[in-house]
Amino acid sequence: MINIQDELRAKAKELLKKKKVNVLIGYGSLNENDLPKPIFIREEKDVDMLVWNPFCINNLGKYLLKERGKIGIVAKGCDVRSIIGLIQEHKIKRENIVILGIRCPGIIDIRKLPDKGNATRLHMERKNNVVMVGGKKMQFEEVCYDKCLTCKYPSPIEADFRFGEEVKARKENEGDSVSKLESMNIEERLKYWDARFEKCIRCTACREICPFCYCERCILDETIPAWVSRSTDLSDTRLFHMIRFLHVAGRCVDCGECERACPMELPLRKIVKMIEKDIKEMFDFEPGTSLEDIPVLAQYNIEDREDFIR
Amino acid sequence: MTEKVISREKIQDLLKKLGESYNVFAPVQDEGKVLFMSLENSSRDVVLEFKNALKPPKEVFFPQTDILFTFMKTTDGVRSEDAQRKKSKPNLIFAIRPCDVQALQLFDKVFSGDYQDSLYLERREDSIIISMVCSEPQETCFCTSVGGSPVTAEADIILTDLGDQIFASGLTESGEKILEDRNFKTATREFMDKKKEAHSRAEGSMKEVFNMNKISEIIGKSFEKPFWNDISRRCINCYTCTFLCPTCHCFDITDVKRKGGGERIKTWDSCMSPLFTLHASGHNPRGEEYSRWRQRLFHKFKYLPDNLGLLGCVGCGRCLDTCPTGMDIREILNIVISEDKTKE
Amino acid sequence: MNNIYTPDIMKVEEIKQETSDIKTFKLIFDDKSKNKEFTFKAGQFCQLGVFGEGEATFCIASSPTRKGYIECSIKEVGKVTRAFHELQVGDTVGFRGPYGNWFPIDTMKKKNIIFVGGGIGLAPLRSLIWNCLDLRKDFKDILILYGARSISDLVYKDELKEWEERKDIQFVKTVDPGGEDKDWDGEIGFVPTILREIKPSPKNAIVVTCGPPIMIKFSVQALDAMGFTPERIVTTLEMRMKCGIGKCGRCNIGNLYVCKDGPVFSYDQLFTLPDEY
Ligand SMILES: Cc1cc2nc3c(=O)[nH]c(=O)nc-3n(C[C@H](O)[C@H](O)[C@H](O)COP(=O)(O)OP(=O)(O)OC[C@H]3O[C@@H](n4cnc5c(N)ncnc54)[C@H](O)[C@@H]3O)c2cc1C
Ligand code: SF4
Ligand code: SF4
Ligand code: SF4
Ligand code: SF4
Ligand code: SF4
Ligand code: FES
Repeated sequence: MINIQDELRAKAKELLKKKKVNVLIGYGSLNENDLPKPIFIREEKDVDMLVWNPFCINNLGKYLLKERGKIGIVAKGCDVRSIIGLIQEHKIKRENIVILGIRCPGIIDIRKLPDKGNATRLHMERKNNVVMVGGKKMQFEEVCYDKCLTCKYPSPIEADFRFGEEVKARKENEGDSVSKLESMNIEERLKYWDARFEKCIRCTACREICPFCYCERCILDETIPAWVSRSTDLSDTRLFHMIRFLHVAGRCVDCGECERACPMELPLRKIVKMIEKDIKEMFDFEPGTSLEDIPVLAQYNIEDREDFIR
Repeated sequence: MTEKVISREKIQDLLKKLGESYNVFAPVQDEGKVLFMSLENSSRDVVLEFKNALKPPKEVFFPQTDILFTFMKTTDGVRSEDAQRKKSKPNLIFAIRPCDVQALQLFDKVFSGDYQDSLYLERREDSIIISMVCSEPQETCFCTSVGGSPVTAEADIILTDLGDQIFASGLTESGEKILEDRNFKTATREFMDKKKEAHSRAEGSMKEVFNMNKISEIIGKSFEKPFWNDISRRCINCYTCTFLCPTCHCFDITDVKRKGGGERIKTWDSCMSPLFTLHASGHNPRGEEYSRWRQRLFHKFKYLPDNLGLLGCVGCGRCLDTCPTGMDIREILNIVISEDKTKE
Repeated sequence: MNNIYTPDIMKVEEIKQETSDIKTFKLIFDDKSKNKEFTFKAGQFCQLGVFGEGEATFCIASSPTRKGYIECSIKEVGKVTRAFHELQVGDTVGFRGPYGNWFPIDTMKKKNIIFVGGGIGLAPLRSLIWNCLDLRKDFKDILILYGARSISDLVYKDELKEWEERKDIQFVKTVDPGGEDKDWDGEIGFVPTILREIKPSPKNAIVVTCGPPIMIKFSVQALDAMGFTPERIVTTLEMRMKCGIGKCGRCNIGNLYVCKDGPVFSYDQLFTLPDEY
């Protein structure tokens, strides 16, 4: 871990010094007791704030749309997929970004640590699959993010520089969460989701954090007509999520940020997974896996077997 | 002040009794989260072993969606009717933390004054506040830095968890009346000592995270400082920090159409959203992201103290705990304070 | 307890098309007794709503001296204002108000009054203008300078004619260069330019201004150069509003809430506020 951080800093310094980038988006901490947060480094002297540790969770890809000029960005395997997606959608140009790709061994979900890891999280060590948190031994699988358990692309598909040792794809099996939902009938499923949507406070964190929710005028904020009212009535909240997820279908790369950002802990990745599965089955498409791909719902194929499209 | 104790296993019974005369809101478990919920028509068990609820109980008096009135189209126009707010029983909040009680002081001021907000005030009328001392404040708590304390509250009753027994101090007449219930026993010397000990332990565990001295004044001087853009850069302008804040009280008023009529609703809103101040012309006085963070900080630490004499932050730590980008109000305040020093 | 958010029901009595996107609505209370009781002061605003579409903020554009009705001039810009433009005579609207402070009419008495208005900014001034004209003896010289982008953007055209013909006031109308036609008998030029040409004396005078921000900015500069001190220049501000009563939290400039502490401000007040409006 330590050497990834050192290498990152050295590379960042070089890029800023040679003016290869005018900003570097990475993870940083004010002091060593701090969880890493997104930071924007513009000067060489600030490079020492850059950190890499098993708590670097934010998908920084979202911030590419906020910066101008040449941008350096630290990205994990999963994050790189969203960057590829944004390039495919012409939101950013490949030549304007420098990807510092990290071969990611998985990230720890502080919500899974006792007391959110408060006070203890910084005294954490990891040896292979065992993590020591505040003197307590835990299996990595118990405390890492769910998405890390099934990550297919822990090593960046696309990058200018790569850091860390090669990490193999982990097993593709999301604890049957999707199949369990699929086996429910419509009423059961509605009941399952309503019990969760009821808790949604419509803080829009899931939308604001999503790299693909970048529309300047979001339909969810539209007032003429107001498709979704400001009421937290279940019918409105259902619609809120349905619309948002339909708009990211075929683009969502399961970075998991929506679920992580949700303060009310809604299991949004269950929807993500279902959409991912549908897109794969219907279109044999996996978003954000190749720069050459055209996003599946932006493609037009004259041979399409569906009649309506001709 | 009446001082009593109640044994832990009697709490459910007490709440059941209180439920006869009050609509009781208490902390319950919901898939790993602790939330305040009405115990009416609910079989959930109340939890006492919690740090603080994910969402502050402000919604008991200020629900996220509040129907102002309903209206229906009639032959000669539109008729509006005040929404029926059944208030058969007054509200009671059980085991609310001292910081969240302090926040209600601010709410009381905001929603009264020249214009009395009956929706809030009617729910608040005759309400009972039973607070619970924070025996183990969290890492993210900083109530003492904003003039509060983990062990005192402007409540009717304040409870202290002593393990098997729970210590109860009645602070108001209505509070003392509740303590007359048979479940409460007179507190012996031993329990009083234990309570004292618990309080000093709790207070001792708090550290000052920034220096409150002249905070309004210092912040007041920082409006034009160049650092705002830098320090709020990673904020994505969601509403998490404001919706979960026990003192945030901003709202929107919109209409919902229903068949043959509709309703006008009051819903939580947030100064972190660009839509909050956007004019129909497209002009936006707080169009820049950093100006919204600045507004949030200024409102809490300058405008509210100036206008209502109370801070808009009670140090509950929810905003920094739930922010998806790790924005930490303590950190920002410290930057503002230290930048002020460097200039002098 | 009264629900402060429930509006009074009003009926649309008359609709007048002022320009292509501005209409003036004459409204009367459904409750006849309310029509007699209702009072307000020039400069105050109200929340008017179309049920099902929502509420929006409008200044009361009629004079408090004309009892029994109110008038609002509404420019179609969005959801609620569009709904207003679809209303017919006889339709129902909701009214909350009057809210906010008002023009300092008492301190204006025995003084020379200068009105500087632009576009739909004449609406709040109109309330005060008629208020002053109905009590003409109380005031000294009255100058009204009103401009718009083009002839078709001028509001209250009938009243402009009336003011033009009155002998007891000075009335100047202008359109931006290019906004005139061959029959135009007013000035041609931006409001601040014409203001400089008229060069009113600051002696014993108060200026009341409302219009587009750019017009106000340059007019205030011109007035400053002529020797008008900031406390004698009064304006009315617009912010996005919802409650109108200082609760919903969105209309503040610094610690002042435009709905409660405004919308009328003098320039010496504005200079102390952060530039966030
Ligand atoms: C003091 C003052 C005086 C004014 N006087 C005048 C005047 O005399 N004449 C004039 O023309 N203008 C006046 N204005 C300006 C006027 O208030 C605005 O032009 C008006 O508010 C625009 O409203 P709108 O609904 O048409 O605009 P929009 O920008 O379309 O507003 C959209 C509306 O939809 C609501 N909304 C947002 N999201 C939703 C949702 N999901 N569901 C339902 N509803 C939603 C919003 O809250 C808002 O009410 C004044 C403003 C102020 C502050
Ligand atoms: S982040 Fe969670 S609470 Fe917020 S809008 Fe999304 S689902 Fe709802
Ligand atoms: S929908 Fe959620 S998982 Fe998918 S890209 Fe957006 S934030 Fe990531
Ligand atoms: S500070 Fe955090 S919670 Fe608040 S708006 Fe910004 S990103 Fe959201
Ligand atoms: S600003 Fe943050 S810490 Fe302060 S009261 Fe609000 S949520 Fe709690
Ligand atoms: S911080 Fe923002 S949302 Fe909270 S009360 Fe103040 S203005 Fe309203
Ligand atoms: S309009 Fe609500 S506070 Fe001013």
